[in-house]
Amino acid sequence: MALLELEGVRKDYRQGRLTVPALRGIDLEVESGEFMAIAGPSGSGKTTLLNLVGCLDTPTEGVIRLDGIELAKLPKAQLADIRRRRIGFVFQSYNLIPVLTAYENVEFSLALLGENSSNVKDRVMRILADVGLSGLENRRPGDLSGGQQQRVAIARALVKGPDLVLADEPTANLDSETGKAIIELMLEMNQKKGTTFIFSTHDPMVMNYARRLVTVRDGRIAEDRRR
Amino acid sequence: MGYLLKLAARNLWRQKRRTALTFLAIAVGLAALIEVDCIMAGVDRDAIDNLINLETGDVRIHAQGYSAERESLPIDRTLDPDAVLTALKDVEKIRAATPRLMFGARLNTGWEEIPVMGVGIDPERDGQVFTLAEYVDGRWPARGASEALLGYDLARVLELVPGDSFTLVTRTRDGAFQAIDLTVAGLIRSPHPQVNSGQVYLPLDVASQALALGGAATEVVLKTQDGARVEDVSRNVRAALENAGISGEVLTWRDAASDFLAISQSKQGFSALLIFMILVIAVVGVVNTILLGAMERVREIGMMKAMGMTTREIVLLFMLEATGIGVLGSITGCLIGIAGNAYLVSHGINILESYKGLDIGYPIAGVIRGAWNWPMVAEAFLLGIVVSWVASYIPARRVAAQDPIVSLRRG
Repeated sequence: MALLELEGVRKDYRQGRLTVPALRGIDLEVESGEFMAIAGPSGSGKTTLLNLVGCLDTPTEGVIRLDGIELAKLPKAQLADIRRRRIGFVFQSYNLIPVLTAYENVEFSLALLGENSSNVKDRVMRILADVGLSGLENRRPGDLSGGQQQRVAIARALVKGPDLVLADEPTANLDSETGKAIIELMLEMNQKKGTTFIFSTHDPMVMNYARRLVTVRDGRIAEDRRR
Repeated sequence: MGYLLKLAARNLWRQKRRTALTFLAIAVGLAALIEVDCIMAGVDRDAIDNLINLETGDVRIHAQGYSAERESLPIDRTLDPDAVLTALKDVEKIRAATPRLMFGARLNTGWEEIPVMGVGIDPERDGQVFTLAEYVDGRWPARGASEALLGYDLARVLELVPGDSFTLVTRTRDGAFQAIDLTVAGLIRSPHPQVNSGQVYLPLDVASQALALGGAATEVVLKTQDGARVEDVSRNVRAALENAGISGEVLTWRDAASDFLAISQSKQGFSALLIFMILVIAVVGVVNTILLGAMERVREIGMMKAMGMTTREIVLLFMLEATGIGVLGSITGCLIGIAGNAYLVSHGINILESYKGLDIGYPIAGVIRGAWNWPMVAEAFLLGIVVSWVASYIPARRVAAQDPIVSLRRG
């Protein structure tokens, strides 16, 4: 069974009296362990697709299943629980909590799960080492570079061992060298931990790293290419 | 919960100036509440002490019907003090008793005449019930002597000093004019403004003879033993008088001081107004702080919801931040209040010196000292916290209800 299944997913937004279709019927299956990019121009529906898959939004039509569970049938609290336990998010502008240190930002993800056992510190330190931030754990986001902040965000997403990491334009705010380092880090984590990554991008360099490239255009899948 | 507490504590100091202004506003309100309550408690305590020690005693006995006419100081409703004292001989919990004769008069110095209240006192017994003697500059009048004590303010207006003579012009029970020539034996500088400004104390036997009352008094005043309930004593006194066939009215100091107590009660309305003002300050401050904080953290809130934080947890986070402001405000307010109280209790303030002659309806004069009211300090402490906590709920709900997608996009 696929980790993620989308069948005939439509999403319309209302703008005053107008109904604006963002997705016009998406069919997609994502297997566990995939490293998949969603490409497409601005406004093509990439972020909408990630929001739906990330249980942040519900489709106007169609079905989305995570491990066979139909997400639209779940109450909000249960969707929040899925986000908390099974999905990691990486955002374009990092979205770290500025008053917490790098260590605490990552620990926050485990605290939400109610984990306070003695191995929390080991787990946090290990994931920070994995993303190359050893020695920087006590720095606050304001004292870190953009690339370092994105590494903290990746560590935060991965520390709880999610089934799926969703990254919305994770390299868009970074220079090309740092962006390359970040996407290589994500790929490394995908290979090392087997975590499924779905990320949106319109950067050809980033697309080149994807094992599967789904191109969205005008709310439809224009191309689905595996490498 | 631990991580929410840590996050709330850190968030409090994101906007140090805003947080400080909010909790200081709450602190100033709470300190004002504690200070005002301290002064009022002190004023009440001093006023009641002055009433009892200089005016009403613990329990008073009048002839039947006297109270209804007491404003006109009637001398046709009198008691035989010896008969009353004999009747009270076996009543428990009475420490001392003394007769007094109150009458209206005009004090004439030869060049000036003003209305006063004459008070006939028993020179031997009066000090067992009242503390008047403690405030006398000069000599305490002797029984049978044509001597009088004058309030300091009254003497100052009339330019009288000990040794000067004056005349009290009054009427006997039959309505005949009577002039009582007296010498100033001493001046009274008491904490009771009416005693200082409008009363002339002379021996009871001299007054009673001049008014043709044959030794009668208008009241017999009792001092009860420590810890005795005046209501219980007055009930027993009433029964003893009935047994002795004496028709009289028995009043506790509370009955006699109903006007003052009504004013004292009205201060609770003032306290309520202060509490309301603190509520407004706290609500406006906390709501403003939370809403501004939320506006600055829109994307962060969206991220937290994306990470799986529930609406309830985000509400709790913001309410913890507000509670933190309340705790800081309460601690600061109570510390300021306690420091102010310590000064008011030890040194007091001489407000009334600046407003001499102003009748505020309270039997107090001179320095007003505060009184500790620890329950009010505790109430103020809790008020700051609870109000901040409760006030934060609605804005916190509004913040937490934001759609994470909109929040992430807007940030």
